[in-house]
Amino acid sequence: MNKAVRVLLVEDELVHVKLFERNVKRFGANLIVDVVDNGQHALDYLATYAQKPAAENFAVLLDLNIPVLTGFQVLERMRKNPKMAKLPVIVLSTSDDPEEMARCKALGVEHFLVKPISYELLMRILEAAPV
Amino acid sequence: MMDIPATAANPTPIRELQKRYTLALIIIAALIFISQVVVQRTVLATMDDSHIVNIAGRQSMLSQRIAKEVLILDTLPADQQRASLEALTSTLDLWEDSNYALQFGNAQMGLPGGNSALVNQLYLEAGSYLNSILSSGRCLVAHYRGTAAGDCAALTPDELRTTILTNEGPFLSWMDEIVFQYEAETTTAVKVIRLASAVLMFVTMISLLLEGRFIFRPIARRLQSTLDALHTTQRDLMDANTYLEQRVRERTQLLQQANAELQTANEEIRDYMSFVTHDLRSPIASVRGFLHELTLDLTDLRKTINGAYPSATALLEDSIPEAVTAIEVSNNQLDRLTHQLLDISRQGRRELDSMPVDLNTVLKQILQVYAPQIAESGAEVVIPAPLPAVESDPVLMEQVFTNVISNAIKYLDPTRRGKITLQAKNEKDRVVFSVGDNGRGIAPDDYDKVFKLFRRAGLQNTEGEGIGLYHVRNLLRRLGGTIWFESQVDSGTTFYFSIPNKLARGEA
Repeated sequence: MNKAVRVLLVEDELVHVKLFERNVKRFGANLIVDVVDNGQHALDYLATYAQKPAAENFAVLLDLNIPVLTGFQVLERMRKNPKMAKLPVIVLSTSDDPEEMARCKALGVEHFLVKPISYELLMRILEAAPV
Repeated sequence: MMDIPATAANPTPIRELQKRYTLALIIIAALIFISQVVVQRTVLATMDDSHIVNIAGRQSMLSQRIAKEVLILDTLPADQQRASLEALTSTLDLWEDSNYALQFGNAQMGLPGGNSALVNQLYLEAGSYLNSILSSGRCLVAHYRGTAAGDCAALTPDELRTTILTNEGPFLSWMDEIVFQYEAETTTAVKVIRLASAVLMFVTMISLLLEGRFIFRPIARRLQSTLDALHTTQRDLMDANTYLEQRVRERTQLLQQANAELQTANEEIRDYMSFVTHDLRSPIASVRGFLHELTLDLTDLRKTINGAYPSATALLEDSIPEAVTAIEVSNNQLDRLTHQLLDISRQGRRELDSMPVDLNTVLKQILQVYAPQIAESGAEVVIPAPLPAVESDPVLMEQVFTNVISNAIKYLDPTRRGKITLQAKNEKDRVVFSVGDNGRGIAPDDYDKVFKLFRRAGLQNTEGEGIGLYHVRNLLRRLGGTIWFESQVDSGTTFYFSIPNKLARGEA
């Protein structure tokens, strides 16, 4: 990964955050990881980020099963806010429920990864992302 | 609650009432007949009596006419005298005939005769005066005509006239007596008849009263009690009906309520299940992720030590990988379990499709997925004839076949070559599929566990969570079908399942 990528990891479970960090380290990815632990914090973060977008590429890694606001609620609000609507989102879910996948697709999510995710795949996606 | 109330105490039997009624009718008919006879007799008697009185009165008048003719005979001119004699003769004849008829009866004159003893006695008394007047009158006529002979010739017309006139007075008195007697007798007879009529009427009325008392009253009472009983029965029936309707309404309401509660509970359970499985899957994913990390770390560690420490090497080569594998197996099991649970809750929510499903293609795909397991066990799968076309939900159909086939593969007998046979049979409005194996079979004691959640029959030496057939049965229920099996321990099991030829769209 040549160019640095900033990601917002929305994940409430510490073990998954830890796992994510270990893998990022192992892949030696040029990745800046910000972590928030619930849906509301994610929206707050995105509101601030939208004021002054960073120079790096950016993506949201969104777990669907999170407190305060669910992943879907976060997605819906993002899509309604013109400043956040275009931000790329990669959904991380614990199940391969076709219904969930369809809902995410309808909300403009291009990538749906089932946990435990394949980090090779994630890295490839982030690299290819024309953000 | 519907017993008919006991009828009024001691009711007279109907047959007895009928007998009484017949008897009463006979008595009343007889009474009416007798009354009629009596009345007719009375009318007739009264008519006779008035006739008798008339004739008797006429006798007095005739005797007076005779006396008058006798007195005026001398004063008449010769031609008138002849006519007068004719009249006198015929008057005498009529007078005699009438008297005879009054005494002894004459149908022509409408006289019955048969007088009472007293009247007959009176006629006898009057008879001598009558006879004197008759013989004297006829003798007198003979004198005027110049035909007098015998005893008659010996008497002078004046003597004869005197005899006639002297006898007339007593005769009239006797006739008055007779008429009086007749009238007295008639009055008595009418009185008797009136009395009889009154008695008859009284008896008739008593009969009617008795009829009322012994026939109509019991009948009325009987009718009343029958009507009361009917009324009570009807009311009871209506009450029972109302009660039943009420009960049905209550029950229906309860059922609807229970149904609504069940539906809510069911939805809650599904939501809860979905929630729980999602929550369960997160740590499972984390464990899997860290196991992968651990494996990578172990590889690094093994390279670093590179056999330097034999005891550490033993741990790294055998003990730790074994533990990691064990955790992985268990975790994978958990993963499958939650996956299937999620599937169940998901299927419960999905609206069904009804479209043509090519089962042959579906089967081919399933067999491709299971090809490694089939190859490993050295089994063969036989499909003697292509499966028929059905209209159903393709997703559910695939799941049904997947589960039944994987189940058959899983429970093959490792000691002999496995064989799985797939067949289909078209029935009237459904298709029955059969998946038979020559596996280990199911013991009769385990029959009731086969379709239960988390229950597994027989030896627990194969992978599985006991969800498959439970899930299949639920899927088939949703598809409008059913599942059953035949099994023989050590020789195999055949699962049969049916689905309708055509699934109604949107069926749940």
